[in-house]
Amino acid sequence: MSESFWISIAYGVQDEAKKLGVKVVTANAGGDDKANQQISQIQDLMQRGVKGMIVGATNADAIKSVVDQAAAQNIPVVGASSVPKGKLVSQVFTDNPTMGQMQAECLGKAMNGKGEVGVLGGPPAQTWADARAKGFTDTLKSKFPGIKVVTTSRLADNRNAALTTVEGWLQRFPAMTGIYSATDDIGSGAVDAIQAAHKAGQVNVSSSNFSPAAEQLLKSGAFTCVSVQEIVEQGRQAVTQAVNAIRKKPVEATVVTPVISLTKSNFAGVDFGPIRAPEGYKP
Amino acid sequence: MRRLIAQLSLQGIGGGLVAPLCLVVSITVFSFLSAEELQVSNLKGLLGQMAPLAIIALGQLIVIITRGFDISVGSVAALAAVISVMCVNALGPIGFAMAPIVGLGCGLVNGVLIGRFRVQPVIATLGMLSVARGLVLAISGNQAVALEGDNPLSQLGYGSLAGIPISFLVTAALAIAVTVMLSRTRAGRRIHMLGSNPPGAELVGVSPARTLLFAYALTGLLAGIAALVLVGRAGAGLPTEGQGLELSTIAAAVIGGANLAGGVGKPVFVLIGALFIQSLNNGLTLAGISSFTQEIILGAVILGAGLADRAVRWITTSQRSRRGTDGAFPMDGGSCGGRPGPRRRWLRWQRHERRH
Repeated sequence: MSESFWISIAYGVQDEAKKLGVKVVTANAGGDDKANQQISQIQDLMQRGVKGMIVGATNADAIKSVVDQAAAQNIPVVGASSVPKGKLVSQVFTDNPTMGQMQAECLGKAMNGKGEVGVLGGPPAQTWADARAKGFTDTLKSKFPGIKVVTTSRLADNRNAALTTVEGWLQRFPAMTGIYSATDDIGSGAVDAIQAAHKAGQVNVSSSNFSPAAEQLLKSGAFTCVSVQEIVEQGRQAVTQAVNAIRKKPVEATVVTPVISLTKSNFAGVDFGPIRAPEGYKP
Repeated sequence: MRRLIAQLSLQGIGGGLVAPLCLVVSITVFSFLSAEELQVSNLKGLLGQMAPLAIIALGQLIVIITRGFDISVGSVAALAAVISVMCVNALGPIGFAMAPIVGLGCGLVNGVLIGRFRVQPVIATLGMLSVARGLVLAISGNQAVALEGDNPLSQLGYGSLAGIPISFLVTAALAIAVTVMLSRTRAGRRIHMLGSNPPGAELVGVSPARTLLFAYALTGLLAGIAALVLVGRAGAGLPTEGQGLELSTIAAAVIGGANLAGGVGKPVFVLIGALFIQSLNNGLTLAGISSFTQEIILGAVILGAGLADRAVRWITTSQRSRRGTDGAFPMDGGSCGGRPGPRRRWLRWQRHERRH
């Protein structure tokens, strides 16, 4: 996941922690491929004697045993956004199926209910990406039967890979008029390919998440719409649940944060407080 | 010859002083930043966590002594981890044997390319890096392969014996084995001879092809063993694991006094180099410094270690040249050719003067 995403989570966590009067230590593994680093960091935090832990997993399977070790030491663990496996007191994540569904509704409308789409489904073996893509394809099937998914890629999980993949698609499927992208980073690659092929305006791209890059692309019309999760709110909820667990208060086992669909036209009226960290915030 | 060996070991120790120095500085600095750093439990944690890095750094040291290096170790470890987990899921715990076998196999290929066909180490291991990474991504479909049921290796990842992490005991045992191999066996002496003077070594009958094959095979084997520790910690084979490990293992070896020009290096100092890198990661994490800044700091430390290593060598050699022994410039004007050193040039000039 992109760095700006986790910065917004960190903002929500720190701001809410300040209100609740708890101290936060953050550790950044540095990417989804650094599971071993994350395991060490969780061990270090256990050594340090933290009272509770909020974990966004690099890999849900790989950190399961260290999460269980923390739970065995009576450290409550809350899974945030990218939820790890193992014993958790609470899971906080966005409504992924709805994010996919909103993309389907917006693309369906923009394509007038017919045509061919390609699906950039996001990194494989990530539950959030599975749920989001399923929300998209299910909604297409039920509401827009005239739209056909002609190709799917789960390997193109970053901007560069998406660029090369979509370049190929535009040649193989000249009639393609819509592309689903699991994240804004992946979607940016699709936009790059469309612009390079001089097809801007002919192919609609929908996306999820809202980085500064996505904001630019939405304003310029390169993204038809973006499904946005309340990232800061997830950080706040994760702290609230963790602190409740530490203070032996009731904890919600599952918290699903709401989603909105942004377009060029409704952009101005939206409150970005729960969505992203204020400009200039550094964790 | 005896002087030459004494010189080499002195250089090894001289270079090796850098790592303990770094370690002491880093632990002192971090103990100011956070009181947890100096606790015994945290030091134990460090010893346990550094195992994959330290084990592969030992392998890296072996090939660095031969004037090479191996940048495929991270990919090879990932490949070994994923294949062994797949085999365990299909055949039971015997499948773990595949990790060292896969590592050894990749190492043998590197060794044949570099030793027999004289491909440069950077090219051969770069090729292996790409092949192994591509292969592991292809067979796993870029997905983590989780162990079905309990993880039989979790003790290797997290357990401890008499208060000492098991992964560290394994690392220490391997370090002793590598030390004995390098200093007490014929193979080890050949590795040192080939690294300090390739043409000379060949003249006295050391086969570069066989020696390099042996060295790279061992490095691959150690990467395969490190893969088992990774599986022990994660309970899964991760196809993307080990990226950046090639650089941090070379860094551990260099900080530990190994010289990329070959012939020099001691396993115990490499362990201290690995411990230093792990303490840096650990301390910077606890101090709340981002992983990107950590990479900058690690890079600066590598540069600093390189410079400090030069300085230590310069001091040790210039002192000996003041004493006026012949051992001061063992490589200059010797059998390997090249420009004669200052002392020899001075002697030659004197002979020249006498003649005229």
